[in-house]
Amino acid sequence: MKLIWKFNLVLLGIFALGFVVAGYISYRSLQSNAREEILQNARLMMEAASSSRNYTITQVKPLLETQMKYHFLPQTVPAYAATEQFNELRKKHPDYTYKEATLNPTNPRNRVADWEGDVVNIFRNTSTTSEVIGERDTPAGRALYLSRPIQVKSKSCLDCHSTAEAAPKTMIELYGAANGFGWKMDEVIGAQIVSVPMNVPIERANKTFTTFMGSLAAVFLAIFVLLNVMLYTMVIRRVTRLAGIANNVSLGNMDAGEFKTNSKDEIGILTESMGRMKASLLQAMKMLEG
Amino acid sequence: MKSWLKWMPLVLTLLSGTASAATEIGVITLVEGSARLLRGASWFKVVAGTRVEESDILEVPERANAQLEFAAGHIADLVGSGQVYIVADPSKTVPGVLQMPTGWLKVVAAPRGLRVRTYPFDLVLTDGVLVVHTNGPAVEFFVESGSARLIELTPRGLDGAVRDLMAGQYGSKSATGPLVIAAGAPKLFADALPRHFVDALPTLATTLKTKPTLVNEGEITYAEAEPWLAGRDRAVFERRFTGRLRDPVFRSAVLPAVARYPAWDRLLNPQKYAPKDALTTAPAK
Repeated sequence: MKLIWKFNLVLLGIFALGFVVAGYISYRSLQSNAREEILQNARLMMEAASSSRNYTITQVKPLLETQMKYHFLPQTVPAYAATEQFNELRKKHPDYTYKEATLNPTNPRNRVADWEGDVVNIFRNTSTTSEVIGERDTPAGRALYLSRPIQVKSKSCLDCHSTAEAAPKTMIELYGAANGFGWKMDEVIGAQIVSVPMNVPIERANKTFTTFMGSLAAVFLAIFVLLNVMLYTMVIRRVTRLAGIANNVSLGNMDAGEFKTNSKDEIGILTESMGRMKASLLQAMKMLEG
Repeated sequence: MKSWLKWMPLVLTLLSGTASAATEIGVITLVEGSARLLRGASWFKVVAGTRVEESDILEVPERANAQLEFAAGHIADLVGSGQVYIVADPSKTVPGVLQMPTGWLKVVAAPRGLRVRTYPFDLVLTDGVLVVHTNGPAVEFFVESGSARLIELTPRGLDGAVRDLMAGQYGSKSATGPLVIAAGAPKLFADALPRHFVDALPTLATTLKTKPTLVNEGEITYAEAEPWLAGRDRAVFERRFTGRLRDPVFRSAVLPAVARYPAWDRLLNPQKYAPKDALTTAPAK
């Protein structure tokens, strides 16, 4: 096998290994960053929803207490406020969702779906769990969900959610007496669940990865070609010429060519050495003939 | 000219019961649309800052609204068309009294209490908020907060049975039906409420330092006076409006129904009440 093929085989092997290692590391890193970015988005959305709840409880509800004696205003309910605020956001960003998934809600729209019920039960069964993160497939693609428990921590919650008899009459008129009662202090009754789409950051990560790997491949290819060119011009061609002349001289053809070089590198030294060897051989042959 | 007629101006002046200068007991702090005040027998235009005295009658037309704030701490918001009569000084009498024949009224009563008189019953509110809607004999009310007592009236207009009411209770009585008390205001009532009644009433008295000059808008007509002359305080209003008999238009409107007003009948038809001896012993000419 010719030297250049051996060289290229080794070079290709090294390049391939490096390509795979670099690809693996960069892919893992990019995917991790993308997931972290998604998680940050989700946490921000969750904090916005929680802020909306607190604002409603501390500032909006007290102002509407008198009105509530005449009409039940769902705007005073923190869950409603957070959900409606998020629905406004969804008009421009429909892939983001927020839900206060509840096992026994007053408003049926908040009732848990199957997978949401599983999340709520995790919080109910392990009191130390403060956050559950997971991924799921949605019609819009892969989504990451972040959830936190909704726990009854204030007695004011029980004003509307203990029994139908204790609840405001205006609330019963609007929602009926069948749902949303029987809650107890410190009970986990549901979960705040924010879902954010993974596709955009993942696509961006994939695109970055593709660009990076493409660039790496291009660089490797350029190096490969340059090395081949250098190897050929600096080594292979010169050695091939040397070999050809040496071969002819070995067969007795002293006029095959001269071992001449201007180079002082290893091939140049070899060329000069072979030239001296030919001269020595010629002189030896003359002495023998002589 | 009949001899008695020349004495009528003096008699009317003495009988009109013109009060000596009354003390101001409150101020009108908010007027939306137009409103007027009946003081004595004269109407005056009401603006924010108008001071209110005992026996004043506040009237607001349809879609208008006026709010009174009393020195005693009560607030009363009237939405028209409606009237409210300040029967007694809410600063002195415990409780103060407002009489309300028609309209929507939201009252915030100070701890000393306030009594709201309606056609079929009175409501006494202590340190709470009450919304009343009356239309003559038909009344509905809602105790928004605090506690109240409902005092039914006997046929003679005296205090009858008393019921205690709690915050959140609603009551209604039609012109002919019985009184019904329920928990919570029904949707129809809540939907019909004047819009600003669903919020707490503001206190604005401290912002109104200037006392506007009252602008007289004329004297009360018989048509306007007739409901008061037929109501619970008919004798009071007979005395109050006696001076109006000087007005030929008022007098001619009264005459067909003068039998309802004994005091006026005596003034306008003294011959009916003269001793029979004076008639029979008149010398022949």
